[in-house]
Amino acid sequence: MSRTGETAPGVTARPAGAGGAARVPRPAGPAGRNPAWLVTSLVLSVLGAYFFVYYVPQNYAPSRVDLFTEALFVGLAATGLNILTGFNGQVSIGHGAFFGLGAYVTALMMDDRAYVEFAGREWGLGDGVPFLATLPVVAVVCLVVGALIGFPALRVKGLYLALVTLGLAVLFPDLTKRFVRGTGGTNLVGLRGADLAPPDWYDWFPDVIADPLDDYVGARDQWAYYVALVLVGLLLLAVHLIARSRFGRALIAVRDHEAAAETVGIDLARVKVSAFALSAAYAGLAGSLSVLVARQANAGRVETFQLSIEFLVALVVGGTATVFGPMIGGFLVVFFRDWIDQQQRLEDLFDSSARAKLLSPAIFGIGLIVMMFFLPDGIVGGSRRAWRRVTRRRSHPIT
Amino acid sequence: MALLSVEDVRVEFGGIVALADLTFTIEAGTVCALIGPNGAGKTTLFNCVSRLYEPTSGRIVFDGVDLLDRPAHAIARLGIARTFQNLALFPALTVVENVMVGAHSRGGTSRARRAEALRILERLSLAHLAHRPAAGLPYGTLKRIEIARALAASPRLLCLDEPAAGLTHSEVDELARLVRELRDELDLTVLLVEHHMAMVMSISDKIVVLDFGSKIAEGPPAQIRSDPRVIEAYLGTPA
Repeated sequence: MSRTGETAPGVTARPAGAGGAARVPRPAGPAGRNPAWLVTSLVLSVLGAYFFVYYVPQNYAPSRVDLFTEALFVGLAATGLNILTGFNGQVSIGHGAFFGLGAYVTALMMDDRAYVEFAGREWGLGDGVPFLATLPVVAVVCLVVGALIGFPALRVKGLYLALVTLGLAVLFPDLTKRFVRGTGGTNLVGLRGADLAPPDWYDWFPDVIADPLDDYVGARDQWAYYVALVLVGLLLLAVHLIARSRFGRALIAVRDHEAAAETVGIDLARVKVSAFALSAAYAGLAGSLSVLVARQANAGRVETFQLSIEFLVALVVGGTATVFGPMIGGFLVVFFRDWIDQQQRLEDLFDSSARAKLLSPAIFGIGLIVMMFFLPDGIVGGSRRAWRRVTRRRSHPIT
Repeated sequence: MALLSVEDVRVEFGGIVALADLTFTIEAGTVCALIGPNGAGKTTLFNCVSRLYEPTSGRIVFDGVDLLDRPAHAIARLGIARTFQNLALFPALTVVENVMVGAHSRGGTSRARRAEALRILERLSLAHLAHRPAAGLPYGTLKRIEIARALAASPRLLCLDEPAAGLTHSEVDELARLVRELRDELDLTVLLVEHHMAMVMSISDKIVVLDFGSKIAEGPPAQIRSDPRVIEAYLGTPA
């Protein structure tokens, strides 16, 4: 223990710092101890809190608030995918299926007419269960289903795993058509306005909820938004804690080097299956939230597939293996899609809005390619690099 | 009493015999080196001890426990840690996190784990790099971080797979001193695979020589140095 003063052999060979400057003493601690970083993040979080907690739900039209809610749940599903793909390195293009599962469980529990037809019997799953009460059920169901799918996924890797999960996205809508009996006997489970109304206790917060008509059924969009905001806040906090935990480090270790992870005592199967289960639960809860906006659960083949891709895009664009990246990606994906759909000029160019909408995936794709070219590590990774460059230049001027 | 005993371990890949009924033991508290030409089966034996390879037959007994009854992830908890010939760190994690992962099989809080990891890094003169990502550090440094990660498991048996490969002369001398010091301080037993003969001769208590998967000699450095079969394996038969 007395040799700390000695120059270590491996270190003397270290090349000089960036720009050929003399050995630059870098801050020893993690970025969190940098005062400039602390001030910036404090200001940003106060502004962000004001905007998201008060400004958005109180000032925007319901359709706009719904768009924010959608961004939250797409971001939440991408956050779940991040646990599996970002931290653990298992690629899934089938998370639309878990998302759909969550939506169906919630909708079936809330609706009194729809049921599941299975083994010759009708399973109602509940009549008029309050939305919040469906969430723990969705979490448990998706954890179990995620784990069940995680076990066979242990046998396949990389591209093959991606294909297997793609199969999930393709299979899921067919399963709902086979087993779910919703509105008019189809696999669509539609909910009525009364089902989606906020609960009675929601009226206890009159100052936060601007409801001039004193008719809180009309506050559906705000209720949905606040539920999404709270749930997303809690689940992001959970990811933050997981990333810094023993389990979180094990996820990354397995992704980076399986054999080394195994020799330090990490049970590969347990870690990978847990990642799958947790990830599925996140996507399922995102699906539950979608019911509040879409007022229905409905799995089409195209939609399930498209959602799966959107989650992946949100994850990669925002930044894999970061806490906030997938959420930022979710907002970008949803608002970018909305922006394209609204472009009047495109409609003029193609004579109709329907044709212009057909173009939106193409523009989306081009945007993605450009994005990946300039920011291969996503928004969060890119900003981190930029921030590091700025702070280094400021604190250590090259003389 | 022998801490590790390798008994008639045989490994075949298809028709190729990588280890042919290898038998040797390592006494507790000693440094045992495994040497031999490339392809002799040294790393294969390491991978059997780590349970990454499944031997065709034989037994590997560590402190009375047959390792072959245990899955790979249970080996660390028994008190066996290793480094890899080609670096096997987790590049996305910081140096201290890499070492913390090394303690995965041990109990304790995250705080205690971090404090312990920092202590080990300090012992290996790596403390100033603790919060840097492992990716991008120089090769020699990464090799020592691997040793730090292995030590974090508080092993009784430390397996080092070519720790000196790619190091400079002064780094090798430093490494040899470090291995001896660690053995004394931590009461370690060391199994070493190494091509750097000066280092092997200087720190080993016993040397096992492999050639084509078979043991051709075993004994203290002085005896191995003059063994005609060893010289033949390394230099070829005199014409």
